[in-house]
Amino acid sequence: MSITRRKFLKGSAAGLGCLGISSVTGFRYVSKAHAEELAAQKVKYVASSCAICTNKCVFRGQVVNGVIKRLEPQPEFAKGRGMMCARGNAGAWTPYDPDRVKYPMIRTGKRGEGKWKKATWEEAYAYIAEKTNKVVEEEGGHRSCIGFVSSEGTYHEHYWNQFRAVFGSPNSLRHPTLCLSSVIRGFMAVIGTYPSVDVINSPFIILAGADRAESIFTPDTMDMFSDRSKKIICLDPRFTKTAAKSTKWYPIKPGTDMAFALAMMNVIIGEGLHDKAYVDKYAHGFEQLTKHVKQYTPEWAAQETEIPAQDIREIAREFAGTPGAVFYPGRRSSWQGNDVETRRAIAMVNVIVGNFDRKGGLIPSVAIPTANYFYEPAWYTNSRPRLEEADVTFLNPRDGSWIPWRDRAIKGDPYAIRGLYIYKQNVVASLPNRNKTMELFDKMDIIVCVDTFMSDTAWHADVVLPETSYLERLDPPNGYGVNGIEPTLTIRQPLIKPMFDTRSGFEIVTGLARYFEDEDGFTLDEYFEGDVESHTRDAVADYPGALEMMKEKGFFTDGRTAPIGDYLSGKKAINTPTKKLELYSDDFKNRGFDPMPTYKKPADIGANKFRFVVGRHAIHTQSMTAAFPELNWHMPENTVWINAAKAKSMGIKSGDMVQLKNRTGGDVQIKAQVTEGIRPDCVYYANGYGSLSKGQPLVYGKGASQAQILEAHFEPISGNALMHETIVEIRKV
Amino acid sequence: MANKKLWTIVFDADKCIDCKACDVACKRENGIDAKGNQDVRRNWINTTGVVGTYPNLKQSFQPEQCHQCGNPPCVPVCPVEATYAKDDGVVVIDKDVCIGCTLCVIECPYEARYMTENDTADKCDFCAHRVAEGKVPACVDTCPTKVRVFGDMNDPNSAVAKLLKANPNAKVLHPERGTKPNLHYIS
Amino acid sequence: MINQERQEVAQRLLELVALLEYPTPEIAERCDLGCEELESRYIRLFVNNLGGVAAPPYAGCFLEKQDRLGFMSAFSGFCLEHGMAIDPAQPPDYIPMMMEVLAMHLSDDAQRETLLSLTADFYRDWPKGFAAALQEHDDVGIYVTVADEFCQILQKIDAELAAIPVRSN
Repeated sequence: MSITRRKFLKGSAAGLGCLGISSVTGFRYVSKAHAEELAAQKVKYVASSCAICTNKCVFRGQVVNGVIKRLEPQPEFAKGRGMMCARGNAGAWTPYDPDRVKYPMIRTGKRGEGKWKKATWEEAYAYIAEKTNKVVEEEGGHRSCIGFVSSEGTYHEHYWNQFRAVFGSPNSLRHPTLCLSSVIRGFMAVIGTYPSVDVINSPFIILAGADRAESIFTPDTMDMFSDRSKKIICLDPRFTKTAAKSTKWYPIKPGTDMAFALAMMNVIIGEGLHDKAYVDKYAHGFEQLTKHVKQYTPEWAAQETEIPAQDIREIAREFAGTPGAVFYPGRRSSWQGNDVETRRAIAMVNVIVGNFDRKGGLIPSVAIPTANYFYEPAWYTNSRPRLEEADVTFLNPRDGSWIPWRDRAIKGDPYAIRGLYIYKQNVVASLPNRNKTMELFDKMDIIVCVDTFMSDTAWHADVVLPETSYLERLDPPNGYGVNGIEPTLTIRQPLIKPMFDTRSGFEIVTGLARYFEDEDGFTLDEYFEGDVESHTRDAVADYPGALEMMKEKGFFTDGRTAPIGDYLSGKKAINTPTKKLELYSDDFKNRGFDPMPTYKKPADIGANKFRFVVGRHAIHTQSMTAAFPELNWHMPENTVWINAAKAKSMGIKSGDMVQLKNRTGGDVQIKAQVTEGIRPDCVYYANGYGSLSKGQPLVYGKGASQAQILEAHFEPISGNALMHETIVEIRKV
Repeated sequence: MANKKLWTIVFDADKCIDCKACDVACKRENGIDAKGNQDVRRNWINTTGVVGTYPNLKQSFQPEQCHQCGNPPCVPVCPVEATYAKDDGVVVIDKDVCIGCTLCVIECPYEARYMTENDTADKCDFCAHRVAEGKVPACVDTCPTKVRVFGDMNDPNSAVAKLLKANPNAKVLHPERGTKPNLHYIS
Repeated sequence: MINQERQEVAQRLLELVALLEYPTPEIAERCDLGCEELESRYIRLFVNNLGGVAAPPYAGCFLEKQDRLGFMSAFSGFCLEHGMAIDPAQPPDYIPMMMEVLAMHLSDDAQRETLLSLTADFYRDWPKGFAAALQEHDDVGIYVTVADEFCQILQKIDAELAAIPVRSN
């Protein structure tokens, strides 16, 4: 008991009465309700859509006496195949979590110390504006010194991006370069789009690391595993649940997936099994490719991949001989330095058997277009280019490239970054090399974080702004995450009123915008028009009945599906420079890259060292869900997978505490999980644990963080971070 | 009786990806807070674990819950007749009568029962409250790959009856116990 | 309890609610703490804390035998049935709000049966759990005192209710 407490108790000998609560004026929280209000309350259903991952599955939310009881799957929602996963079900807990961020808070202690005071929204806005305007002034008025970080999945991110744009900073950092930038770039280069896959009609699927059983993606996961007649070949250094459900699992050596794809083409072209008419008509560069892949024999690939040559040969033959066979593009592809080229090779395997724009193959996604929400751009005379503009060839200006951006921001090269405005991207947990992220934070004069929970990132911010949870607000319809072969529009509607002093993303940015001016002296809120309700109406004004359908069912579809064959018939043009499927890229050549995917052997990791591989788990969405009680008990902490034979040779048993050390000063301690299910030269543990934020109690101090062990590397074509280029040493503690 | 139902679930366990959707949906639907106790669950997923030696490995998953036995071993052991089979075949527990003696928990060959924090026995009842509203049990419709099919075995046109007819090799678990289960596995 | 006593207890509950509110300079002074220090301690106890909220002010977090969402729903339903609307900006099991619900029943001179079912169904395990959490973590002193007094009030109500014979009509 502290001195303070003793003092208090001594001073309160007369009981609490002496505190002199003079201002007790009556009831704060309870009132006499009107009878008709009560009658309306009992049990109601609200159609809405999930926000726990990118799929946006539609549900019927059951609310009993004003409390969310259950989020039931909406059986009519085609893309989700009428399911609700563990995470989606557990989402009902979100609004009531005692560890939610409840009202705006301003830091009063040191960063990360955990000392806060409650603020009103206006106090928080004023605090942010004062700090921000000061640094902007010190930087000569240029707004680029503020980095804007955000994460998609909700429509409200659009408002955040609008705020950044009218504020005048080009520095927008989103998640794709930690995820799928390289696969998008690789497939764009060959077929002009990052496609959907017609999994339901494909009898034969090759997966290179796409763990669809654990990384649930609609409708692919459902279609892939609910029809057990499909043949599935799984290449993964780790025996995932997808591996368990596959016809055949190959623990491929990391970084050699391209060798596998090249050898498949060697066999298919060499044996004349490719679709000749298709290639003649639609492909560009087949002759060059034919010559190029001659060197990549299955025997050669077997040395690289550690997959037997005969197996590669048989897989290639069966692949070419099975109509609708597909080499699945995958989604998270931020692995190795050759990832864009690897994905390009995989796209080409698909092209030579003629499955682009055909049943069972790669299908360009379609969306139900919504009316765009336009806003006036703001112009600033002294605006600067993005910080890392010179570092990445195909830099998406809205996504940025996290790794080089952070390096330059730390150095102030070519200009200083003084503040971070973060919207729900938990960068402290998601960026490789957490020490560097903390170094970046240390340089900042102002860090603002919008979130629903006390994430690691929020914990280290100066101001935390609480957003409403996805179950408490309206999100206008949009197709993000629900476009594809069977596109829909989904909506979010409030199941309950917003709790605590929380605001939607729209309310947050429009409130903040009032505290800033553009160059001409107009306050930035003048750039925002309408409100979430009007945007919701406007978005689907072209579709009679759409709004009503969405309000009732949570989604809208006009029944359209991707028109398979439109690109082959010439009705639509293939979106590449040659308007053909590019097996040879002049564009790549002109930019100084290999015109065709050219294999480069991954560097030897050295004896007794391990490559750290990342992966997913079906009960978690990255770092977001580990603290949900109903999910957490399935995996209270993460453990590092070590191959059984290897562990035995090192004297490590399951449950032993081990230390992992990378090459750039990152180290963690974590319990070992000895398993047959991983290559002897790799280790793995799940994401989401080892939280720095003591605000996430279930994962604080439990297991280890991926961000802490991953080294920070990136590849310069797409700007992707490389999640499989971390080499660690392990020792028993 | 022509109208009498026999509620049944047919499992295509080979479709199971061990994603735990059924577990969480059940807990939410039935208001079960296990407080981290792994024994407190109405359904669960059996797994062989990773079998074999690297790189020749296998693993399979088999979801399970109360079998709503036609000859339920849990019923006769109850000293106070708190547990009984309804007309539709679903075995239920009257919690007001249950004295918490745990005999039924011990007797069940499937380990489908558990003791609640209130010291009464509990288990799956095929979400009777949902079935009464014409819905299927929560574990059935929440499943991504639709492992379970729910229906009335007494109706020859039901999906479950047709599935069993089409899969003559369907099995029940622990047939040697003579429990006449109403869970059937076609894989 | 006679009506006047009930009114006094109800008033006292409202005072306890006031003490559980976000700290004011007035309270900070009484506690011999700077206001900012008291605020950060309050936040660590009840809002966002090192290792998770030390004493979440939500009854459902201290239930030993019940699911929190079910408890909230049932409590909310009870309030609605008895003509009381609770603040939708708080989870229904927000402890100060639950104190007010009890206070309102007392000040309305609710029927013995109603009070009995209210206290029996909704005010059982958790007050002691909340007090115990504060006993461990409240280094200010004021909050554990409030929680203890609340437990005493509940005991007093229980004793009074037990003493009155059931009214037979």
